[in-house]
Amino acid sequence: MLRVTRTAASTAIACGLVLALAPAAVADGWGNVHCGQGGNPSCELGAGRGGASKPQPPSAPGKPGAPRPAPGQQPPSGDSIIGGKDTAAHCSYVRSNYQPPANGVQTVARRTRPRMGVLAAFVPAQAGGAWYVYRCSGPGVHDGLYRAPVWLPDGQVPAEATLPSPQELAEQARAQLRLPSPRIQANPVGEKLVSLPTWLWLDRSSWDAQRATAAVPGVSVTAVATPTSVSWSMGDGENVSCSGPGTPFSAGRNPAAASPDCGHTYHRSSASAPAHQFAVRATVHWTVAWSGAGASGTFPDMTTSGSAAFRVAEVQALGTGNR
Amino acid sequence: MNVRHAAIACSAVLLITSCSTNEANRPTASAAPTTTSAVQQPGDVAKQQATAAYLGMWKDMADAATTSDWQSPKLAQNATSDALQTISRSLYADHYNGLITKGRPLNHPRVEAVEPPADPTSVTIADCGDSTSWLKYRADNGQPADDGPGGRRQIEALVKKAVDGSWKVTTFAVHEVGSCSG
Repeated sequence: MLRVTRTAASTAIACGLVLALAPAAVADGWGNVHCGQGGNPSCELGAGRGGASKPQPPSAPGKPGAPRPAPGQQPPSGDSIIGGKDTAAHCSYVRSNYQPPANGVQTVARRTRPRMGVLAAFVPAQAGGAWYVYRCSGPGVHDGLYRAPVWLPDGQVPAEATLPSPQELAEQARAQLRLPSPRIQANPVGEKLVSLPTWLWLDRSSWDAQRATAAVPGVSVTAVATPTSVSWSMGDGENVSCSGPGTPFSAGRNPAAASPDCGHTYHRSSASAPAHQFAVRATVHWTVAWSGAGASGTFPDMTTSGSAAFRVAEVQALGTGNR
Repeated sequence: MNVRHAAIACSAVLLITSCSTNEANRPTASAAPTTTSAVQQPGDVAKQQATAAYLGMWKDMADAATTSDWQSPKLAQNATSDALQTISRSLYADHYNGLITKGRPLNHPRVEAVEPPADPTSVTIADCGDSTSWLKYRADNGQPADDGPGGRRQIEALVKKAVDGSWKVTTFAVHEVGSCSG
């Protein structure tokens, strides 16, 4: 039984590596689960219907052909797989913190049906090993994105498979940052007036440092994005830079006074603008730093933006209904 | 890793599985009862529940995919075993890559086989799923993830009745964009 299990496991790993050379994913919802992605081992379902279930060559026109394994050729070394003449593909594996859902696990004990038996090897019960994400490159093909995690037992991890470097983890953490879009607030609340200072500020809920952590056992890196400044495009051709979110206007303040740190005074009405409104845009600049695993660094700044429409009226037009 | 052996092993697996699949499918054409009476046959209930589970699985996935929540408990409502894990791993990859999926797939499932006909516990579903409005975007800036459009994909799924009476998809196969029409 043990021997059978091992055979099944190595078969599955081998198939996984072959599948790894399938065409790059199409960016639709099924992109990671379709047959040949290595993400779905269940593709024998349609095997009796015209053989469409085997890993397919790329069908998208204009896409480079993925290297396909050719039986009879020897791999040059390690995990590289020859797929015809000069079409070696290299796959790099990075250990991930993926954990399968509890009822998605197929234990070896449940392998009662032969057709499911092979699949079980993708999800060993408790054997030593880990889940690895991976991406492959070959002539004309380069995975920009990592593919769905596969289980590799400890003894069968490819030589290139590594713990992610701190930088790789940081990149993963950065990709998981979710920055809120700024929500624009202003005073006067409704129609703005020519020559009257307009206060500008952002809702405080969109002005907190955001953090995300990426980890594998034993290593963890956190990326922190901090909002630092706001560029306002006021719609009348003027731009305003503010070093913070801006001071909210509150009742009791003098409405004729300018904001202490973020405001703008319009000198013409929006009557001639599209829809008689100025399109206002606030762009928040975030610095992104990371640290962990004994290292630290910074990423390029990120930005988020929000928009609003300001109607600006001439003072003498107030209440008259005329322009 | 010996590729030659790997390829042979894979072929052997495919041979074995295609045999078992054929076996499972053989009786369906003649055995599937045609419903002419008003009384619901056991097969009708099974078909309805299995189809509901199949559609529910993609809905659950689409819901979780809006945030690439690979740990969403909802994923287990209509899927189990390989199907559940494949979906979870797919969403993990998106999460890892900083992608989310917006929109919904469009499904047109039809029942291909019901086993055994007298007291069904297993239903095979075929579908031509349309992902034209179910695409991935970068989570950080909302840009489309890739230049590849969605399209119609041939899908087969096996839906089984669990001991608690619920129907769940246990495994599915999604084929290339353009693998079906209609």
